[in-house]
Amino acid sequence: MQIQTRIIANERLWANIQTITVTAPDLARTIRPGQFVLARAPNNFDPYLRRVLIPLQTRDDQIQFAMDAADPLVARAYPDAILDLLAPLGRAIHFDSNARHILLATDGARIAPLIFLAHAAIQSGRAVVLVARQTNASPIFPAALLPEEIEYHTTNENEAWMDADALAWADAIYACGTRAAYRELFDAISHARYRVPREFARVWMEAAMPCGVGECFACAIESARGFALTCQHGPFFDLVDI
Amino acid sequence: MNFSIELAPNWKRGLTLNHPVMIVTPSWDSSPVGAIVTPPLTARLRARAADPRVIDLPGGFLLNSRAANPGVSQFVEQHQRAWEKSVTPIIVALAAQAADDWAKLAARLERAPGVSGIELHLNPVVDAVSAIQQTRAATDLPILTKLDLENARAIARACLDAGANALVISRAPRGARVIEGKIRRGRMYGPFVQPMVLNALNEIAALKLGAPLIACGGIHSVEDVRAFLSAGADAVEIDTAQWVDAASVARLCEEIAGARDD
Repeated sequence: MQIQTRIIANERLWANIQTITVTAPDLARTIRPGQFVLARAPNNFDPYLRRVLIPLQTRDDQIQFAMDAADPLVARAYPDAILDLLAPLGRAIHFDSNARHILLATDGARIAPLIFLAHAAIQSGRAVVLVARQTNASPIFPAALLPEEIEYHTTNENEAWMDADALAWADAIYACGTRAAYRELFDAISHARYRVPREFARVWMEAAMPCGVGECFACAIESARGFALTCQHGPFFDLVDI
Repeated sequence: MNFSIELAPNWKRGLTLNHPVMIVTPSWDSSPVGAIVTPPLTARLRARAADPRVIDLPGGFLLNSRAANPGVSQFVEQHQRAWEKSVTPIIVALAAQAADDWAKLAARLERAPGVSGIELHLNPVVDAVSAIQQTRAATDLPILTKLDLENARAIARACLDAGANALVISRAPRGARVIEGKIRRGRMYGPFVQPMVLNALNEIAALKLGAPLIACGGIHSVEDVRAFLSAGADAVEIDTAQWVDAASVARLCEEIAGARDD
């Protein structure tokens, strides 16, 4: 659906993550982890394309989104302005009822899609561990900005992203990183659990998504199941398919 | 303004539009439109382009998708049930990966239910006459030929002589930007494209080729549609405007339909 929302706040969260908070009661009720929205300032072609906003959390009828702080839309998203949203987009994540231990993994600054997941997992009574690996390009995400129920582990570039204990503990894994990091994750799971079961690990595929609804094919990826679109079939994909 | 537009006049299979706006999309059901045109499809799956695929331009963007698509067979299987029920004509856009693909692609569509026409995406590297002749030999479906801006005027007549029923002017113009020291090429989209397309369209209209002309490029408003129709277009195609603001494109279509009813 295409909706017009009013901006409540536009603030820097950390590093290159900007947060935009809007009032959108229906969307706040319906949006799910794994989904995203596309936003634009109405009646304005600069920037021309809609921008990807990732939900961080919902509170009553408000939604706080994350976006790239360097994006030109940030300068147009001033409080009280209208933001035109196409939402919700992408495939929602639904936790398996048997998955009680949720392992989240981020490689560098890519963390925004995991935060909304973390809130949902905590609210449903699941235990959540977040492993963040520091890279040269990105410092460690501040623990103070995470829900306090999360158990937070950090590593650095010289260490393994995840140790065997964490992989053995997890019932489900959700990761945000590079393709190289996903290869490393696949190898680590194979080593720790002997195989990578389908629907055990899901990874966020970063892609430009100009249309958001499967029309432009710009976000196409080749998966083990063939041609897939990040905006329609993702952005979280089964690691086995990637 | 005439709202019954025949895109394949004097051809054994007609292609009549009841609205001058055609939408480039796999599916559209929010407002009256003249036709639905698919994204360009190839004979086989076409892999994604290297990143960055989308580069911002002032008031638009550069897209380097390499026309990634799942291949014509998968796409047709996915959509043909909806196409069969569609009261709006479905036009399938085609691009070739090899010189002899055109006939195979056309033959695939000849037996696909619900397909009303074909739109060939040509570029200056493609032998346009051969592409159209191959397609024409394989199908009686109406053929729209989407020309590249670079040589649209030069080859327009030859395309019609080869068997095309109508001309689409034009594919998005090519452009390039330097990103992190590397040149990145693609096709440019946005309102700024409109004057280039309008100029090409008007030049081709002046040739009085006797075939329907469809304008495509930078159309975002009712005024844009009217400008193209007054410059010689019989219909228009809208592509990226609906990604940016689908609601305003729906309103545009409603407004034009309302003008007909009045």
